Amino acid sequence: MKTGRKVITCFFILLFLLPLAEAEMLAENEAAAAQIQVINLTTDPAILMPYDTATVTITLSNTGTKSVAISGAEIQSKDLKILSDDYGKVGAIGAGNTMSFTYTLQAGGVTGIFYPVFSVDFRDANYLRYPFKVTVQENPLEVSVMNKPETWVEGKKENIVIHIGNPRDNAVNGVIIDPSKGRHEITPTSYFAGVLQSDNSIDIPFSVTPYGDEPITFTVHYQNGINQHTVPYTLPVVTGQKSRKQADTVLSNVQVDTERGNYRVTGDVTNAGLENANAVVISSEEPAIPVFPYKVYAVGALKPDDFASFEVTFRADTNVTEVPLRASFKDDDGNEFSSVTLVELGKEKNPKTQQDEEGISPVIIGVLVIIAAGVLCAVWYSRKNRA
Amino acid sequence: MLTDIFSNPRMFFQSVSKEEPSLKKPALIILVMAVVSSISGYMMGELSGKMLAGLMEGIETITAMSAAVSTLIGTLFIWVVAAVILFGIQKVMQGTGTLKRVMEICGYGMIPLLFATIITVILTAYYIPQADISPITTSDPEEISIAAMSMMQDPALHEFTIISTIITIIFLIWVANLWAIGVESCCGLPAKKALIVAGLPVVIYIAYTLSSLLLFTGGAA
Repeated sequence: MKTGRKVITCFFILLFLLPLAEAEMLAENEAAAAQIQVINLTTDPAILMPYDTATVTITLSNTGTKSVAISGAEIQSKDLKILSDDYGKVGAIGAGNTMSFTYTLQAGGVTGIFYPVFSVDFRDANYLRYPFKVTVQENPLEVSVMNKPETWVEGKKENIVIHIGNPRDNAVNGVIIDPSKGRHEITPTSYFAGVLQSDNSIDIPFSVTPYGDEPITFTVHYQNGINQHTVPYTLPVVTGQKSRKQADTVLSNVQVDTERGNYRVTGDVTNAGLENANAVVISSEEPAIPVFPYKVYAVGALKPDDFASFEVTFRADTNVTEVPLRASFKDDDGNEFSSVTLVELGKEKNPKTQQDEEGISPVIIGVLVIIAAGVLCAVWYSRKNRA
Repeated sequence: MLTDIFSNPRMFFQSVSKEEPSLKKPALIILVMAVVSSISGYMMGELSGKMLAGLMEGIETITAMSAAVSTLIGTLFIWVVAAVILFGIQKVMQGTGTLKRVMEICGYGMIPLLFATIITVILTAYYIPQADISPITTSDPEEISIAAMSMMQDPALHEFTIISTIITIIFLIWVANLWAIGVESCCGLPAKKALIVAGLPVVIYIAYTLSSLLLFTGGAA
């Protein structure tokens, strides 16, 4: 009986001591868990755009002397969507060791600063709650055009500069500018700019030769972290308008003469524009039929306000009263331009009419009559002798 | 006397018929005429050369010399051809003249053309400087042909062509008269037949010349 009492006594003593031991152990674990610290937190991209996806990497370090068991880790947020799963039963962080946790977040459509909470649940100890900052910013890249020509001329190459600025608080990468593939000739066909740092800008030159009035859309592609974004910029192109500085050939002092049944038009061609007119050529057009010696007249280069004389020769039917003269020239880039000036011929200038009107002079006719009379006299005289 | 051909051509040809046929004097007459004609040919050739000056260096001299030589040979050739035609026709008309005799008559009869040739040279010297010829720079045959045609339409050349043709026709009438008298006197043909022998080729030639004039110059001025 005494033995039974002793056993029962010991059992109750143990039963009394066990919670004490457990309480002592819990206190030790909590002391160890208190040595767990977040030593690093990175968000990629650093600043999100609405609906962007980012990765958050949180590194824990155990600065204590005992390992700490972790039963789970998670991120909690009302404003951001957590795309990755929670960490469960990750094991323990040994003394002096570090452990990283990576999560995928997605921003909503609202911009602002949000504070999701990183929560670590320790085994046999309390938990760690670590709120961190996530910024969602709308600002896309800013695109503008610089050095745009005041007017577009079909077929004339113009140089433009596309200016891209980054107003965001973080750098963006993979910046590519891609002009639309229309009828226009645009070089380069695309441009890779790479990384564009925060508050920096880049100028990208393009040469555009327009054909038609189709607008050009420059689309800027860039990446914010792993998120692809685009910014379109539409550049209107309206051709057919005359440049204020463009060379302009004007025909003046035009005189129409006739020569061997052909018309000969002489005059002056003046560059009334503000740019050089190169390879100026004057020619006649239908209904005129150009003839040598001056089917076309190559004047050459004319500087602004310069003038040079020209001469063209052509044939035309008698019923033609006006003939177009085409003055063509090239600008410094080799683009050809032309203008047409109508020249009135006038019936009195008709070569055939003029020839008919002139005729043989009366003096010559008189001489011919005298010669004919003399010959007839000689013939008559020789015949008279026969009788 | 050679001058008798103008004052009394009948007596001149009758005296010729009494002697043996000789081509020395007629040939000399034709040669003089050919030399004078070649002056006119030279000037015309030089003018054509100006038109082609852009194609080759010195082409003016080449064309001028070629035209002068062509005119010289052509005049001699015309004498022979005219004589052969006259000989053939007078034979058809049962004339008695030999070819040599007919050539002699033909040569003497062409003396008036010497005057026509001299007048033509004067006219050439007068009209050629007035012609406005621009050099052509292309070697395209079609363009050269068009340029040559347009050259003939030059007012000065057009007038010159018409006047020289009229003068030639006037003097050809005189030549035909002399040929008729010569054939009548030397070939034993009556006056009417002699007139046909001499007149027929001249009329044909005049008709041909006038038609050419109308064709190439677009009609009289």
